[in-house]
Amino acid sequence: MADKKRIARCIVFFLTGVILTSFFATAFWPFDKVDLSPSQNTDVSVQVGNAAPTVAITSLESSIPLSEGTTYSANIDFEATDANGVNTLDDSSVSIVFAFPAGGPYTEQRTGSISDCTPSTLGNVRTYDCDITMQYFDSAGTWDVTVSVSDTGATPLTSQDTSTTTVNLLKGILLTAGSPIGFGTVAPGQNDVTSPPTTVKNNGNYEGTIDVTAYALYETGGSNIPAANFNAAGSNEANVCAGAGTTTLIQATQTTVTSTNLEKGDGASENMKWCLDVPSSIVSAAYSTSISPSQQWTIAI
Amino acid sequence: MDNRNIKIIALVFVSLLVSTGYVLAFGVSSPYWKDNPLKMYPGETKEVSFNLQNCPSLSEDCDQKEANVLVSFEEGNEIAQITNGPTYKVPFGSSDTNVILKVSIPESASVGDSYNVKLSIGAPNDETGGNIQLGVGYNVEFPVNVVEEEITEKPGVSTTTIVVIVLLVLIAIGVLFWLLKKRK
Repeated sequence: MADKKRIARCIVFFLTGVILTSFFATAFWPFDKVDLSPSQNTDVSVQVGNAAPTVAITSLESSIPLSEGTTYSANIDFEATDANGVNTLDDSSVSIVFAFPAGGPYTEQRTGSISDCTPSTLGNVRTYDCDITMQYFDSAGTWDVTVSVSDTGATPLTSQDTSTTTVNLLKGILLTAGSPIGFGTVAPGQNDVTSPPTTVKNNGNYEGTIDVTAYALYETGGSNIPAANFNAAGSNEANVCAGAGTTTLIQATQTTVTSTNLEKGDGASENMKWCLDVPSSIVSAAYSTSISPSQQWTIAI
Repeated sequence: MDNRNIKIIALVFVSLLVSTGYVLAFGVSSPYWKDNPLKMYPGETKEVSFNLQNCPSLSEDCDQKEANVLVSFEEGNEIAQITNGPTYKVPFGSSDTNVILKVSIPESASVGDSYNVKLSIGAPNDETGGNIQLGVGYNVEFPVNVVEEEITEKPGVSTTTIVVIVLLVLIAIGVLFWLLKKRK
């Protein structure tokens, strides 16, 4: 009796399912779009579409130090796969772009192509090991990184992956002329004596002013020319001795020379000018920072 | 012109003759600076590397010598210390010497606090001649901002998965209970 009841319940369930399926099929089947003609022979063909490759960055230097005065090779590795096989990847389409600032609008870019990469294949994965050439003057900050590769389909499909990296702040200067500073022939009480400018070459990506830490110049007998008798200025200041942009130096104190402007770029430099007012009560001797207790001056950024 | 002035002229003239024009070309690469602060949470300790270079371009303009670099604290030694000492010998042409700074934020620090770390990095120059010998120095300065600790979700079983597993277990128990009842 119980079995009969169970069988009856199953039949009811089955019939209910059939009725509901028929109802929905009738309601939603697109009869207007289907030609229900009598049976006939027809050709059946299946077009297997081209699948886009997939690209993923697997290794990227999170912090790029740069190299002062020269180039730096930033390493990036990425992998590409393609459902149609790695042989369908078009190596010549490989593109690597480092762009600054992150998020745009971009003002600086470094790019690479397959010639900067060493590709290799393992199974169904093609790996590109690439080195992008960065310059010592590339801006410090966060850069967007984009890699992409296309396949060789009739209509090539391209995929890309993105990431970010930080370019370090590189401070590097080289004094290419005017060091040490020499004032030539001077006389006690002589004012506004200038020296050949000191050329400060920027071998990094820092931009801004230059600081000077000065010390009094001594002679062996102990007399000195105080640091405050020296003025410094950048190349934009025409009159280093009395112009508005000149800076009076302070004993043993790092002082910003406000009229200096060290720019970055290929061969960028700043010419620092110097001016001396010779004290009138000076004794006849050679004055230098190399005589104790004086100290070497420092040019700092 | 008296004898005294003539003497000054002579001495300055001599000093100009022995002037040399090379200056050490060392540099420093910093991962953090004023516009790119280091972010740490209370109680966190982190090591930060500052890369010292000495003319990696091998340019003829550089003084082709080892640079003796001195690093000193100007600010921030309450949270930071140099782990590998204040003096460094940086070979000419190299760029693989690092100043390691260990930064520790106290547990008592509050989110939003900020510390300033400032290092002075310089190399005395052994040039001779002239009146004023020049050395090169760098100011390495960066803020350390105290932020909330980032809670990273550990990879593993998600909440949804746990709910599904619990439901399946309950259903299994229910079926088992039903079968046992049926046998009786």
